[in-house]
Amino acid sequence: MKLKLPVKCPSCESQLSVTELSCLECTTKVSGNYALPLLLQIPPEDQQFILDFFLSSGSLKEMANQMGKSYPTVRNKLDDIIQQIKNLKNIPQL
Amino acid sequence: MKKIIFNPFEQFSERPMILFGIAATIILSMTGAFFNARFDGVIDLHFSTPTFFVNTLTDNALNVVILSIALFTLGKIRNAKTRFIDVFTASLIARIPYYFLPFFNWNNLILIESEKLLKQFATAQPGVVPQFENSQILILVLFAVVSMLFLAWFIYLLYQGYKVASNAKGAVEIVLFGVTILITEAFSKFIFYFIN
Repeated sequence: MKLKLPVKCPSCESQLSVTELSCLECTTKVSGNYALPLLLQIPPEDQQFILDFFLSSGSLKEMANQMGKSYPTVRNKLDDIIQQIKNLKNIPQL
Repeated sequence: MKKIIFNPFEQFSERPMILFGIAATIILSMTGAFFNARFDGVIDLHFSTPTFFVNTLTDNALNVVILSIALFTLGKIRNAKTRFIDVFTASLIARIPYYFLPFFNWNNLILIESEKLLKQFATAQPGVVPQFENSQILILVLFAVVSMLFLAWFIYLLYQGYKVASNAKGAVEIVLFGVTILITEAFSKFIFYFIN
């Protein structure tokens, strides 16, 4: 099962941050307070969209063919993700 | 299937839709002329005799062009990325349901019944309600209901097409779209008044 990375606190809806990283080989743990990268803060399907867009060399036409959607639908999706990232950029990061 | 009937714009690319739209417009303009239909305004349909194929085709072509220009102008104002080809596709495809309404004028049924109704009102004594036949009322009410349904389908399709073309969202966009359609209807009536 692929686990979903939580980005918002289930209790108060605030932005979560990374406070611990660990090595699965030797169990070394690193503690700190690291903000989640912007791309990890958007929903997984939008992350996948960005990855597919990158892999299709930024061609919306090719993306539209792959997704079986029309060109303006794919362009609108990209515009919505851009807007989402712009909004996240305006929120002060931890 | 539901997507194809109510929002094909999300799924299909513009080229096959334009080809389908042009073919449907030409073929259904022929049937429109056969049933004496004139589309003399972007949301108008009237029956009159005689009507020729060239009249109906010109009506439909003009309506598509006027609608496309109006929605492209609104789309460009609201979102600079709006493309003319997308609003043109929306205008072309959205009107198709409307082209089926003339089939209800089989044997000039609607034209005859509506002219009879007008004559009854014109010849009635002032203040006296004319006597209508039940069949006459039934035919006209049924046609009115069907017309409203097809008009709603046409406007819904047009909005979905505009929405995809301009990434429109929210109530403000719906209001602006509605106002634009009303202004376009008034403008198209003006144009048709001059050319007919």
